[in-house]
Amino acid sequence: MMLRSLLPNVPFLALLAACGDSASTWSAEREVAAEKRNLQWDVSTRNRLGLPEMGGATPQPAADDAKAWTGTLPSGWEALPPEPARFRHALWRVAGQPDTECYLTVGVGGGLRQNAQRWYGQFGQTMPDTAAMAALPAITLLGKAGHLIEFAGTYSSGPVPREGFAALLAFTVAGDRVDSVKFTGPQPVVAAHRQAFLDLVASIRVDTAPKAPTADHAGPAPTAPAPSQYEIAVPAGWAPVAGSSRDLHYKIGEQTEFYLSGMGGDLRPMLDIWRSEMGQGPIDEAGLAALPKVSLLGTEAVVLDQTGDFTSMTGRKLAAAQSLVVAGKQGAAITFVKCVGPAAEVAPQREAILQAIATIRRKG
Amino acid sequence: MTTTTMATPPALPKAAMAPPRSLATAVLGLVGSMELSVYLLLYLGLLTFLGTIAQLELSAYDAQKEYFESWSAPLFRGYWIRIPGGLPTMIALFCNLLIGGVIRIRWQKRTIGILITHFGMLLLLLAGWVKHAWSISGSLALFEGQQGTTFVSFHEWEVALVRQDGDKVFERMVPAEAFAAAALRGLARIDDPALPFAVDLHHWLENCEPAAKGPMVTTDMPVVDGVYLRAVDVDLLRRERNFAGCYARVTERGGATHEGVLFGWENRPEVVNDSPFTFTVAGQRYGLMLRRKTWDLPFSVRLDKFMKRDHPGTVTPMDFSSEVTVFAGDQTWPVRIFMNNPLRRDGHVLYQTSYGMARDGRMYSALEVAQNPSDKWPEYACYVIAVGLVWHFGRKLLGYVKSQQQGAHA
Repeated sequence: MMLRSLLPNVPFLALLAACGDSASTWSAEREVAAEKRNLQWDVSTRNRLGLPEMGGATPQPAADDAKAWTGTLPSGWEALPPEPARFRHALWRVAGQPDTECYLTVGVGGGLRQNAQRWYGQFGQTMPDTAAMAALPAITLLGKAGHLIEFAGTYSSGPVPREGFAALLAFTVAGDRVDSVKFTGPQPVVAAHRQAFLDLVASIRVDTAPKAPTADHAGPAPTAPAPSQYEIAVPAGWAPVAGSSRDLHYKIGEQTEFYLSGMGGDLRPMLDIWRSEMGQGPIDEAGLAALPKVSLLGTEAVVLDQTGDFTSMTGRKLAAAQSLVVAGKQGAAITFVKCVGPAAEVAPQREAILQAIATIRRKG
Repeated sequence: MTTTTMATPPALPKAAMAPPRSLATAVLGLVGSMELSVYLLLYLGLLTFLGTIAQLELSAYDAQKEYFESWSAPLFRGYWIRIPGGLPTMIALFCNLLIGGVIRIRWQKRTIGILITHFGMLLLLLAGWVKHAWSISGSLALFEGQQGTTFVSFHEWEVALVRQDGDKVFERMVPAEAFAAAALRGLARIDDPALPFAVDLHHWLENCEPAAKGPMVTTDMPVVDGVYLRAVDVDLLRRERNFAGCYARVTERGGATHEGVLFGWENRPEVVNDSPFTFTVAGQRYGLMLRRKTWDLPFSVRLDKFMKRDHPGTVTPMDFSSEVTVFAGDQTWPVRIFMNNPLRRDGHVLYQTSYGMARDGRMYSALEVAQNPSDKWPEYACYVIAVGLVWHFGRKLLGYVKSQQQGAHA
């Protein structure tokens, strides 16, 4: 009886429940120490939403790329042509020391936190808190007050971690834009050129004659990237990617890229990352055991071959793609070959790609 | 003289001679019956089975919500037929045990063990309710050398309104469950007359990614500062991997508006959501953030060393643990957190749950932080139940031994 009397009201009650009260109010105010939140205020929408990381590099204002930058070349150093595409708006190195690199990056987004986390992470360190960052030695760069960070240890910013390295990093911050000069190289070399670096930083300025080669830029002519320590036999039609910082970087067809790289850590989390790029979940034990094995640089490597829609860690998307990764443990690091492109391009080349991978050797 | 003899009435059945049971007695009898206990336990078994099967399509978190922390649960996923969920079942079991095992049972020497056991079971169920109603849990992920004091929810979101005054941040929150449904359909207003503005949230997306709106891109979503939120399929199996997003419109009392995009991009310890959508009203700078529900520990923890040992020849971890230093006031002390050996302090429990690797190859340790008022109750309940069972069966055993001895003497 009671149920019967309630039944006609059900649609109304359901509607009431569905509509609900769309107005809410805030909780009581909570006080928190600022250092616990470390809020970054007034960050641009793009940087706030992580678009520099998710959608590629922060777009540089055209004016920055159009400008030329120079500095007083320290004795025993040489200037190299700038590479704005690699965030090297001015580039130097210690003459005769190809392992060294010193470059100016202007106006990179992400604010101090994201950039400093990356810098510290490259030496296996954690960014200190805001107070410690503020207490770093002071420098002046491009007329703005900034700080100097000094690193030493294993430098992991390439395919192979480099032990016994050091870095000097001078930076300034304006909002979410960071200017920096970074000098890396073997520890003894960096230590010997510390004062030269600081003098160079202090002297950096906008070049008033941007297009004309200056005395400071009277370095060697544009050169190819440092030669790879690996060699490979590739099929005809694979085009080396000029100027790439990656090892054995080739373009296959219109959109497919092939390269060799390395990273510290364990294999399985990396497999999960590569799977997540294709929208797949973590690999399980059975899946890991079932992966085909090949030889890469003399050690056993697994073959992860996936098709689907590809989204890279930097947000690059490719529909109907094929990702072919061959990865193996080399000591404490992982060495891997990654080949990603439209499935229509990769699939016909799959066997050729695996054959090419089998030919990879260390030089010398 | 007439003698009248009255006929003897026929004997009534014994049951019919018993005083009539009231409705309340009958209901109490039914609710506290052993039969109901058995049915309820079998039904809990069925719910467990259904909840387990559901995890083929749902995350463990969602399955738990849908089957065990709910008033009703789907019998078959995707169909409308619903059956009572874990919540009413466990409430019924609590009432059943309370009435049948404590109130209606005769309190005698021989039932002491049974009573104690029932009290233990009630405490166990009560612990579950307290945890359901009042506990929080989240993740604290740290790189080696990193010190942390804040933990964030695995699955639940909140919008925080923040303002900073020197070295203090003042924040007010609204949980997503309070506005998400309305923001999905239209505008969800968050208002407080004490503030000089109201906030309207709209276009709520449970999983999304921000994208730049170029000339070749068409979208139905609002575009703010050349950026829009693009919906991404919700990951039902790993809900913690979803990144929620929505749009915010701040309307000043005078009518001026500020538009912003809120995106819960956070992947600690690598990516920390610390950049609010900033706007200024009446000379005061405010920020709006969509973030995972955030809580602060009353102490801080620094990860000194993360250790992981693999089974020989594999990448499967044999065990992993974290050596941490706890900082509380001017005191510090080292603790090793590993499986089944959590850190307990100030009502918080820190468990070693996971680990991961950042994009730059650094390993990090992930600790689950739980604040549960009934944290130790299940342990105490087990002790109580054990005492009750030992008492009851010990008494039975002694009685049996005694009767055997008497039989032997006879």
